[in-house]
Amino acid sequence: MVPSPLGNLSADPPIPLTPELRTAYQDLYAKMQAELDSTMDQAAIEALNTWQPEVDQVLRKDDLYKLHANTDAFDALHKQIDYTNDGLKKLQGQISSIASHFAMAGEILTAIEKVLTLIPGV
Amino acid sequence: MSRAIFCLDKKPPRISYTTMQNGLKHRASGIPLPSRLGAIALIVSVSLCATGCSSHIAKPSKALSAAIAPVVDQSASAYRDAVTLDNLRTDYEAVVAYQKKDATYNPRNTPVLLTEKDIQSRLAVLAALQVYSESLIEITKGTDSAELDAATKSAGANLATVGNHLAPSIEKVLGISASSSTSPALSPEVSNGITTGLNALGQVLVNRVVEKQLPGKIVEMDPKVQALCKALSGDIQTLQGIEVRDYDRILNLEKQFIIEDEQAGKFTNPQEHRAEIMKLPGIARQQREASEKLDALREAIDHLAQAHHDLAVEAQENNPLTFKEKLAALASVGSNLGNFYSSLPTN
Repeated sequence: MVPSPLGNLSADPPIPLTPELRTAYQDLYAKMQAELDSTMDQAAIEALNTWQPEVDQVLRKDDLYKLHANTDAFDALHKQIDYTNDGLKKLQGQISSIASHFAMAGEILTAIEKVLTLIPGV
Repeated sequence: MSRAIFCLDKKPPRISYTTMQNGLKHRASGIPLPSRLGAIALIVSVSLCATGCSSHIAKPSKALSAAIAPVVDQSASAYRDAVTLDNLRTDYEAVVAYQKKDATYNPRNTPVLLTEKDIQSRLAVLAALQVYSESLIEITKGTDSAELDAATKSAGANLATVGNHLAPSIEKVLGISASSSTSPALSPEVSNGITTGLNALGQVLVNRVVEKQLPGKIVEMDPKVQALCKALSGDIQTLQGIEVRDYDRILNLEKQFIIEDEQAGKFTNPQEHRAEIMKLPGIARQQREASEKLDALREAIDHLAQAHHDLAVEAQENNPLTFKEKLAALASVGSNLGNFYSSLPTN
């Protein structure tokens, strides 16, 4: 049986990886890729193409863990930003109400003007 | 706010502004109403020019909006591109599974990098951030509101009409000799002055609301935006790693397929064989371009984080000359105007 090129690295380590462990898998992946890029030997390519995905699978699991954790973070942030947006809407409402107070003043003055026209001698 | 403008039945409080004190002295000495109204307009206009008509955070708000746009556009495309590429890699893996006669392979069980829900979670939070930025721009330009313009024009015109109706009667009641001319008590110039004054007063009130409440909201938002940018940046870094390895795998398998096809006894069309080889540089170019696009996106995210932080710093009154004093001046103008209106005689 061909020994695993993973050496003492597990093919199924606990996820998330520690930064040190992730670096170790990344280094191994990079070495395998460098080998693949520099050979035209069919046997070597086939062997590396068998083992490199094992390393990639570990890194991928770690990546998917991060992406899914981020999905939760995005959902939480979305709620928080919506809360701020609600506050800004209220502020816009307050600003609009200032204009509406002026509009109301205009209406009141129109009403006064109408009353004045109805009072004889004024 | 409305009390400051329309409560004319209050006793005149102490007037602290010298200008206002002088204004009252002049009124007591018999300056006619039109001139007084014109003076109000002038005072408000001058005060506003001295304190600044628009919020000082309008400019960084626009910078923030400009920083958000590329992040939103490029992020959506980055997520979709990453998923498309990963799907392509999955297609290559299907060939490998069949070559190995892997009975466990089932195309229905192929993994998906990001589900539609995962992508939507990301796009939804970016859309919320865009709403936030648009609201900031809308609020900081609130002093140029068309709604306020229309309302003050209407109020100003109506005030002038009422004034013209009332003035002759007041003159009659007070026994003042009636105006010799037939011109209205409030001339069009004074009427325009009233409108200008009311508009300026509205701007002061809007500014007060904005300056009092908006900075707190922006400062409160900053950690959220920083957390969002950090999560986005982390996402992009992760996608970048996955994309590099997806492209590597595609290139590695292409290489293997091409070399296998070159073995004796295998039928290979020479033209097809060359075409397969010629695909490789194109795939490598795509890999490089994809990586550059993600680099640019990460830069845009960093820029967004910085733009919001700049806005928060500005809002956090880091420059007391442009913020605290402006706020104090605005409050003083508003308060004095309220006092001035309250001090007008009620009969």
